Amino acid sequence: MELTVKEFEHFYRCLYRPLGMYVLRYTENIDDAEDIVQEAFANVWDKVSSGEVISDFKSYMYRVVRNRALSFLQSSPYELSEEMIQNDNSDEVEEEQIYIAERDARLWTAIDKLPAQRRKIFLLAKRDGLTYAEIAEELNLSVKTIEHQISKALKCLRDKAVKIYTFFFG
Amino acid sequence: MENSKLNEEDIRFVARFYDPLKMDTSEAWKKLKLASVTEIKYHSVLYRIASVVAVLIIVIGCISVYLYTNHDKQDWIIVTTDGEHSLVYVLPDSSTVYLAKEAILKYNKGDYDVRSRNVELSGKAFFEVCHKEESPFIVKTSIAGVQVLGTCFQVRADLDTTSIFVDSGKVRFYNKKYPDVILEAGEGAYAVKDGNIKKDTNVDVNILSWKTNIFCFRDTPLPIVIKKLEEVYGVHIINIPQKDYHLTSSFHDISVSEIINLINEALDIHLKIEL
Repeated sequence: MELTVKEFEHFYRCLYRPLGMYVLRYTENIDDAEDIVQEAFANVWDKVSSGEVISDFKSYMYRVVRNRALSFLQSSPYELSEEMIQNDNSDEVEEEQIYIAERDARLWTAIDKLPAQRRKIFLLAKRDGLTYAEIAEELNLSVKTIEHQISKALKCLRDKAVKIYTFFFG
Repeated sequence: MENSKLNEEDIRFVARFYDPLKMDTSEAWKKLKLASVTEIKYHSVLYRIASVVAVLIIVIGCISVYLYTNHDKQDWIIVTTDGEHSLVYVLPDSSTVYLAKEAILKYNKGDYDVRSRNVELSGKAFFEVCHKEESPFIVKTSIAGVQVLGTCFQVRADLDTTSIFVDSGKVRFYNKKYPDVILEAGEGAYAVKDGNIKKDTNVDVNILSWKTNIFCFRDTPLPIVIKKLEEVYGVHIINIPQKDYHLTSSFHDISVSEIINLINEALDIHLKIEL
């Protein structure tokens, strides 16, 4: 095996969430995204175990999951947007898209790390679309508190999502 | 190209799908790893249906319509281990195989132990074969074959060499083109692709250490001792002294760090395992 299990694990841990976020843009469903990423890794693991050498593992994985995501969409009653079909023409996945996927992964990790109450408030606002007033009523807190929590959450997310350093996700 | 500004839309996208129970990298890795230590069964059932229909009705003796199916069962089992651990596998006849990490064993359960016991190997494995006169045990690698009646031996099948070491009993070691060799306990040999079979005149005393965890060093130069420990335990040892040290010692089934401690004490050096 050209790639040891430890090296493969390293790639896996670094790429799992970014690849998931990338596929999420296509599937708009988190379970499908995870399935596609996991299947892609299983398939590549088999290839590597049987002696195939992959140069530039990261680019390879992005291409593999993009192709899987596209065939997944084609075989189900989802509509492919014009954008997606356009992007398919180039062989390489664009740097920009990889950057976005990595940033989204850092965002996800940052949300994981928010303290429970702050995360709850953040999700009520940004995921469920409640107004600050509605959240305040729901949780029996003042609007000022809600504002404060949201602004702290956003600051933390902005800091973490934008910083360019690699660390193991999840 | 890189927008260092994170806008509302980007945050909402991730938040929309966020679920604390999903995207767990460690969980997902565990699942993937588990899937690599598997016993994959292939079933292929071949049916042959022949039917004959009489066209002419013959007064004396009719030809009747018959339908028969013929099952030829193929039931291939593939046993492999992941890159880190060795695996003990018991074959249907109770013969035991110790697979070293990354070894692959293949056999057809459907006709195993019918007239012979055939397995295929790539990688390294140690076999303990149950004695059965009427059913020779045969190991096939890409380069050579091993036939035994009942014995204990190790086979290592690499891409271009297959080597064998006999622990007890006798084996017949053969190659497609060249005359085969009978090996006895304590003997080793190797076969190269399209080459002769050569007896190993310098068999490594510790050739089975990966399986037995027993090491025997007799005036062995320190670099060789270290190489063996690194190979068997998969560690990296540092602080190796320049001076010419020799070690005479044997270790029975103790941890690698204990072994290092004992060596350090005996030779007054400071070997360390790099983490």
